[in-house]
This record gives sequence, C-alpha cells and structure tokens, in this order.
Amino acid sequence: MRHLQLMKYVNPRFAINTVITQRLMSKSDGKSSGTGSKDAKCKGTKDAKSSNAAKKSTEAKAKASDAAKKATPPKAAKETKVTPPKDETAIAGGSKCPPKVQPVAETSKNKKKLQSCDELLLGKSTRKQKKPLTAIQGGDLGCPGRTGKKPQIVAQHSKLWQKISLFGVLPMIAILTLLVFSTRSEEERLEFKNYEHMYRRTKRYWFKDGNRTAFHNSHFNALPPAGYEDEVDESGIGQDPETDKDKKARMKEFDKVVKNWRKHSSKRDAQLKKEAAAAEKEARKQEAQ
Amino acid sequence: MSTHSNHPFHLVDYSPWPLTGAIGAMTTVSGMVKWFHQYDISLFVLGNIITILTVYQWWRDVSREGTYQGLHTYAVTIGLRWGMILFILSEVLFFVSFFWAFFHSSLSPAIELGASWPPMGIISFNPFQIPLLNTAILLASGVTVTWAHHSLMENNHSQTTQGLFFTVLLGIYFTILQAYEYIEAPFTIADSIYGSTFFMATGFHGIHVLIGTTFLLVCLLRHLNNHFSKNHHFGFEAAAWYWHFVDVVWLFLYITIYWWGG
Repeated sequence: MRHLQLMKYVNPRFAINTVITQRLMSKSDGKSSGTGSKDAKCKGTKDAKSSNAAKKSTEAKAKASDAAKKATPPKAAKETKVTPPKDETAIAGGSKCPPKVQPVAETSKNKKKLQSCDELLLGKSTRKQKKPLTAIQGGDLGCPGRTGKKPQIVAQHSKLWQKISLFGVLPMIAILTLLVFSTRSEEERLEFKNYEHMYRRTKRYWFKDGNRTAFHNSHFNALPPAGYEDEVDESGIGQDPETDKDKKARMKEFDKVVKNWRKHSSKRDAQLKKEAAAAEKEARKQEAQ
Repeated sequence: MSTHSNHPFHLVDYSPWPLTGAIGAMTTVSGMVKWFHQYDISLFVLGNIITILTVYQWWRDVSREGTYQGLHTYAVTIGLRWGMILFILSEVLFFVSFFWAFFHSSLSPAIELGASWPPMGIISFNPFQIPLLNTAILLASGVTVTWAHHSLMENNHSQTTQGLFFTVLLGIYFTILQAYEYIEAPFTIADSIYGSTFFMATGFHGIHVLIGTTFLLVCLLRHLNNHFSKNHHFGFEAAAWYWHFVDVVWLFLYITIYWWGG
C-alpha cells in the first residue's frame, strides 16, 4: 500500500490504480462478511470449525486476488479485477440458500389455493340462487316474497298464534268490554255559554234542517244562539232576534191575553162562590131533616 | 292463451276500466263542486257509483289474471308489492296532514280559546273507557290476522277461515263502538278547532277501518273459493299490510288525540 502511495507523486497512472484497489478492498471486505453471515444463517446446525474454515477460505481468496492485481499490467488489470468478486459471491450464495426459501413459498401458495378452493365450495353453497323470473307463482315453488330457500314452515307457528288469539286476546276483549260498560256513567254537560269559537255556523248544512250536525245529540250538543234544546223553545232556534215593532206587537197580544185571563178568572171565582154557597144550603137542609 | 312466454312480465290486455275510472273521478269532483254550491249531492253520488263499479270490476279482472290465468309471475308480484307499499306510504302522508293540523292548534292554543287545550267549552272523552277498548280491539285484530297468515302459509284452510272471520268481526265491532262514541260526543265538528281536528282525524280513520274491513272480507270470500295457495296469496298479504297500517294509525290517534290531547 505504501509503495502505491509513493508512486502517486512519481507517475499519475499509478494514482488511478490506487483508487481502484481501495474500492476493491472495501467491497471484498463487505462481501466476505456477507457471505459469512449467509453461511451462518443457512447452516445453522453446523459447527464452529466449519465456519472458521469458511473464513480461512475467504482470506485465501483475497490474497490470491491481490497477487493477480500486482502482476497484471494497468489495462489488463482493470478488466480482470472487476469480474472475479461477482463470480465468487454468486456461486457461494446461490448453491446454498434456495432449497430453504422455495419450499416456504410453495407451501404458502398451496395454502392460498386450498383457501380459495374452500371459499369457492362454501360460496356455491351459501350463494343465493335466484328464482327464474319466468316461473309462474304457485305449486312447489318458493314464496314470492323470499328468494332462495323455501321457508321452513313449522306447524307450531299457526298453533301458537291460534292459542294467542283464542285463549289470550279474545277473552281480553270480552273482559275489557264488561269492565268498560259496567263502569260507564253518564257525564254532566257544561252550562251553555255562547263562545265565539263554539257552535260555528257559517252556512246551513245540506242535510236535516241545516242547523244540526250529522251526529247531533239533543242532550249534549247545544244549538246557537239559544243553547240546549230542552231548555229553550225549539221553534225560535236559529231565527233572527225580534225587532222593537215585533216586541210591541207581542206585548200587546200578551196584554190582551192577560185581560182575558183576568176576566175569566173573576167569573170563575164568582161561580165557585155560588157553588160553595149552594152546597152549604143543601148541607143545612139535610141536617134539619 | 298459453302460459308460456319468453319474458316474465305481464303485457296487459285491453280493458275499459282506466277510462271508466277516469270518468268516475271526474264526475265525483264535479259533483263536489255542485254539492258545495247548490246543496245538491246527486252528481257526487253518481260519480261515486261509477267509481265503485269500476274498482269492483277492475279488481275482479286482476283476481282472474292472478288466480285462473297464471299471469302473476314473480316479477309481476314484485311490482304489485311495490305498488301496495307506495299506496300505504301515500296514506301515511295523508294522515300526517291531520296530525299536523291537530298539533298546530293544540301545542299553542290561541288566546280566544282561553289559551288552553281542550278549549273552553269542550269536554273531552275519557281515554280509559271506550277508546281503550277500541285500542285493544284493533291490537287483537292484528293478532288474529297474523294467525290467519301463518295458517295460510301452512296450507291450513280451516284455521285461515277462522282467523279471517275473527278479524272481520273485530273490525265491525270497532266501527260500532266508534259510531256509539260519535253519537254520545259532548262536542260536534262545529265546536272550535278541537271538534274539527278530532272528527277529521277519527272520521277518516273510521273510513279506513271500513275499507280495511271490506278488503279483509273480500279476502275471506276469495279464500272460501280456494283462490289462495300457500305460495301465492298476495291479495291477502296486501290486506294484512293495510290492516296493520290502520292499526298503527289508531295507536297514534289514541295516544295524541284521546290521551294527550284529552
């Protein structure tokens, strides 16, 4: 190495040689260590002596390469120096490692194939087979609302619902009917007040008398503007309030009726007195006899 | 005609029912205009008669196609199912409008009503009397219609007959009790917003109970004529779906209008 360094200053050609040699040395060192590690990985079961022997062999190879470099001329040295390391490493690694790696890959591929086969088999069984659309409904075909499997009809379903219906639901209806109608009581109605929002009549109805609703109840439903039917004169319901003239006329008629009533009442009183007196006379005669 | 075809769909035959149905609907809505303006319901009644005759014969033809002619393949049945589902969805939204009106008024009653719910002058029903009995009746009818359905899927003819019979009977009983409640009501449809929303919601529910009862009765008659098999009975399933829908609407009605709003 020192000779080569000294030659730099004497002749520039040898400088190139030094650079190449340094690179080769570093490469050879790395490769030798790499091969050692590979050997150790591949030959895990071997002894330490065999590993030492491998190291010695690599050292010997390195020495041989160095000797070759010194002897050859510069041009020839370039060509020969590059090729040997590659060949050495390739031969050493290739022959040992593949047998261990390939089986693993093959087993994994086989497993994948097996899984895919299983999936295919399962998929066929689980896949829903759609019914042909041209199939006419009826017969032994499946239900229209369900695709694929026929529904597993179990007789217990209808029996279950029959029991629920006949022994659970219908008796409940009967019991509730008895409870409701036995505890039912008539409610009192509210006092009539002619609220603006109640008893709305914007037009007359097209049925009945035009003032009563379809489900009119004479006791509970009041009629505007008077109120409940059994509290007011029905003939006046829905009519306009009377005017002053009508009121005066009505009062005149009322006065006439009152006068007639008084006359008749006075006459009736006199007649009653006469009858009473006559009755007393007859009573006295009978007592005298 | 042969039942063989190279496609699963039902290419319908010529039929007069869409035309007569349209005529019936037009006559009905024209009759409503006449009714509201001239107090005359004759045209309205005529429209309803035309519509009823149309739907009867249209569904008769559908039953014949499915039962005797074998035209209801799996694909056709799927279409009928989606049709029924969408119809029930439209009914749900129909009732949402009544509940909306009720909650609009009941959650913030106006000052004119006394700022209270029920409004002043209203006595509400006792929810634990006949309304509770009606709730039990509808729930019971849900159980009996389920019994009929399971029996039908197990090819048990007599049990299906009994289940359907009890379901129809309970529907009629519900209607009778509801009519009794209407007659005994201490308020009318004209008594404030309470009476209006109450009778609109419960009235339309009552009409739907009548429709559902009729639907189930038709299924009972078809069953007695051996129209259904254990695999092909969508008409019955549609009636059961509709009946369960009516039941659920009543639960909402009972909880919100009778119980909470009472």
